[in-house]
Amino acid sequence: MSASDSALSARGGLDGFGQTVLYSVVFVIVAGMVVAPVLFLAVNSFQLAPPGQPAKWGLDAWRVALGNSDIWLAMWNSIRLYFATSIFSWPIAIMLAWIVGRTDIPGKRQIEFLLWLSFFLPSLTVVMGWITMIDPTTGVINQLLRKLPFVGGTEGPFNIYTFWGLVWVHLGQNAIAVKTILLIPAFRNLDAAMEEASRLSGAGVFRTLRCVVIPLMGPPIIITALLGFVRLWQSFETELVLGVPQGFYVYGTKLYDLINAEIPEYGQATVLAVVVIGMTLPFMVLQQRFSVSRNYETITGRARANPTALGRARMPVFAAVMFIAVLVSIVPVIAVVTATFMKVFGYFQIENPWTLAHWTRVLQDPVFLHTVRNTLVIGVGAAVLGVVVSLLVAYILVRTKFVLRAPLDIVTWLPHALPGTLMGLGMLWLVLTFLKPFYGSILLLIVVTVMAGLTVGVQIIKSNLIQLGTELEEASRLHGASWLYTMWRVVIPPLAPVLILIATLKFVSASRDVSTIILLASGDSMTLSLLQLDYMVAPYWESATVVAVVMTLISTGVALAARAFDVRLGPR
Amino acid sequence: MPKTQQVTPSECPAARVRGVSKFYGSVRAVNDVTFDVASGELLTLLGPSGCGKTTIMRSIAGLERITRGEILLRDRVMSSAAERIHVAPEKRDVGMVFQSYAIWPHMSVFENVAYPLRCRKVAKPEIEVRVREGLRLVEMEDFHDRPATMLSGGQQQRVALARSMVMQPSVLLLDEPLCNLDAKLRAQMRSHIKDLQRKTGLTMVYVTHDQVEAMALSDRIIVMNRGVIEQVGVPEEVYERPQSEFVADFVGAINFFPGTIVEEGGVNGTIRVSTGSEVLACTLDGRVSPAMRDRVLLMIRPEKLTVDDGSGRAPTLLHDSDAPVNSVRARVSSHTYCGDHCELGFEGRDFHLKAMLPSAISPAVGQEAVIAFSARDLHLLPAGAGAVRCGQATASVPEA
Repeated sequence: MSASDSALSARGGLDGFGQTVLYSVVFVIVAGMVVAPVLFLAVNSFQLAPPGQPAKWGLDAWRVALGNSDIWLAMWNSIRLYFATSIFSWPIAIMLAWIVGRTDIPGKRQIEFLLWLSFFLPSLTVVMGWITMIDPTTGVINQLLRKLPFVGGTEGPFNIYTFWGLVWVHLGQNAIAVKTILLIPAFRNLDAAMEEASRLSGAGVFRTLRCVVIPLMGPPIIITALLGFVRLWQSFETELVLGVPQGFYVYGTKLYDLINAEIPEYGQATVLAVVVIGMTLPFMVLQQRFSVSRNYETITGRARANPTALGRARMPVFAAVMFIAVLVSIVPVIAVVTATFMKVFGYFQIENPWTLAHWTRVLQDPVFLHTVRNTLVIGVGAAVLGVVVSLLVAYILVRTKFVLRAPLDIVTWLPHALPGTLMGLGMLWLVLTFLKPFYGSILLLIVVTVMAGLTVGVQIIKSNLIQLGTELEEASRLHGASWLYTMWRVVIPPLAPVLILIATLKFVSASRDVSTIILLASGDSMTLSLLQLDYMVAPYWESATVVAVVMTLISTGVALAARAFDVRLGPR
Repeated sequence: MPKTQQVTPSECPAARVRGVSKFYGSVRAVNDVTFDVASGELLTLLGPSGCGKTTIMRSIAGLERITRGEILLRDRVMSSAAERIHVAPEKRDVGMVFQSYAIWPHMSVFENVAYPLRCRKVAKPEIEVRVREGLRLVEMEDFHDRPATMLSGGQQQRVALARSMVMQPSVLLLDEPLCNLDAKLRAQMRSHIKDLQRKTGLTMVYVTHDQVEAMALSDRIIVMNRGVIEQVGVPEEVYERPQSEFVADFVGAINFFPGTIVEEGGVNGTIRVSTGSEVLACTLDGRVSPAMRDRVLLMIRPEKLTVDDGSGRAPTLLHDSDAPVNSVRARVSSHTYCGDHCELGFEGRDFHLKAMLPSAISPAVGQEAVIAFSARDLHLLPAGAGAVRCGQATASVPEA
């Protein structure tokens, strides 16, 4: 008794040394998984042999890559696409967040719910939905518009396979929805007195919005902007489907193209990776600073529920907002679902265009069933592993005095900035060199998706742990509980809803991921999203739509189920 | 369609609140409240949180739509439930100091104060002059270019005052402006606000739950409870002659003796009331009303009691020659030293009393003492006066 008592000591069941060992192990694993692939890429950009073969050092890769104008064009395209999308998405998102967060329009909960639904839609589903509608020849909207007397023709007027088509699809995917979701709480928490003081000073609704509300929202807007900006190299699958056919490459698709070439250009791909890491790091640090300093806390106060009355504009504004919310959520899903029942994609004019054949064919396909199983295993695995890793890392960052906290913090921000394809490439190289048996395994896919999504999970748990305060834990320890017992009985229970939220996010992102796993999956570990992509490239459009609907059901289904467990997923 | 009242400007109240009610669903936050705010006065709405005082103030500002009644500023109808009039807050010419100050952190002190003038399209040189004047009034002229985030609570408070006064509003509303300040600063700002009001002659409506603040500042006080007005009066009236048990209890500490009248028509309107164990004399200002026939409530403020502990140090009661003195025996049950005075609890045969006494007189706990008080200082109310009136204010809205 007395021996275990002294081992318990003031610190609990794990003594100081034991804790340090545990923290160090976590640090080594997390840092290894995140940093090693990146370092590996950097080193190997000076290495001329493909992975798994004897090394040959030189600057050839750099010379060739820097002279390859296609690479520069692809990077420029990423930037161009990002800014073109932002020009539209920012004003719309800010207006939406203001309207939902601070005015008296009806149906706010429904609108917020639709935006959340949009967030959970797999991006390829949205792509397919819009192809169904604005494919230059078969798109339903195009077909209808051509019936108008002054349009006519056999193609257009809209073409999704263009730069602006890509912009449109990005707006319909997450460009508007995510910004709005992130900004709504900030708008909602703004002390209403700030607006009321302006109104009483003699300013109308719009002057108040322009001179007080939006400037006050500056910090959260900047944080959200940086959050999005470091991810500008991320976009991949949308461009793979819509860009490559028109010869339009962005960073992610170019990287993929270099590796998927008949003779893989590993050298150039690594150079491309290193260049982007170098360009992203400063912004990552900037964003981390901003998020941590939270200097906008001064402006939030006790929010008085006193929404701005829109008067006569109320219903028109509601209609406009609802229109956008439906456009980014339900519309593409309806389009895809309709497409699954069509004999030939987009041909309504043929006799009896409807069929169940695609569903029966796909559902009986053993490959499909295998990929469903893989997807579920990866989703559940990523959810469980993701929660454990995020919780441990967040706990170490918030609650302990572990010496390597600062580097650990930086490491957790890195995956957010790293494009999935790049992460996948680094991991591929690492695995082919050291861990060949793991190549193509489901475990590898689980690990890589967990690491790719590390930032969000850690940040969410961190902020919740900070709010929780240390007193609860200290009280538990003082009453004689061990460290482990305290974790289990005092730390984890209040975090349960947050942990379920993170499990849900991990499940959904892992189950629909394309860019991180596309270089790592084999035929055996193929997932639904990759199968869908295969079908689209083949092209078996009809089969792809069925897979898209199944994917959508899985990810939105899990999100909705989590909501039922009282998780803060979207509005209450 | 603003109605014009047939009143000359000089006698026109700055604001009129007529039969105003505000319901949130089934919750009656404010129920049929009527009062005027005279031009140039400092009127305080005093009451516990949830009594509806803030709701009334926000209704005057146009930040809440009223359910019934109407609100006029000068002679213009600003809110009218019957006529569906609701003038937007920015068109009411009302200033307001918020509890949280609502200083815009992205603007400098100057820009904060200049904002109302810019909204009114005042010429630039004049803005400069008026903002400086406003900041000088609140003794903040040196903070001109300071970012608003670099101000202490008290300084934000002053800037908020300057901002709401610079446009010379027809009414200035103050929503518990001192409650976020520490005790010392609060006393300082209290006299500063009083001072400003005298200098500028602005009409002010001040909302607070702090009775000391209300006493110190107000020309008139409206005591509210559960959405209705309990009493309107100058501070002395409210304190000395509370019209209900609620007002008596809310405004300062008080002792109650329930009892029945046993003898009327003594000298100078003195009556005698039996409280069970004691019979107390009480000088009545008016007549005995029919409501007092049944049960009555006698009350007296703790500072009106004197105590003779037999030490001979008790201050002599300053008798009115014609008012009788009551004396009761009681045992000291508690003793709290408060520096400049001490608070004593007494246990009588069937009553409890609290007394506020100079620190020098401090009978020990357990000691017997004689408590004396003048019949003039006893105040009489019919029992149950001001208790929850049937059907009104069934629930309260949490404020703030």
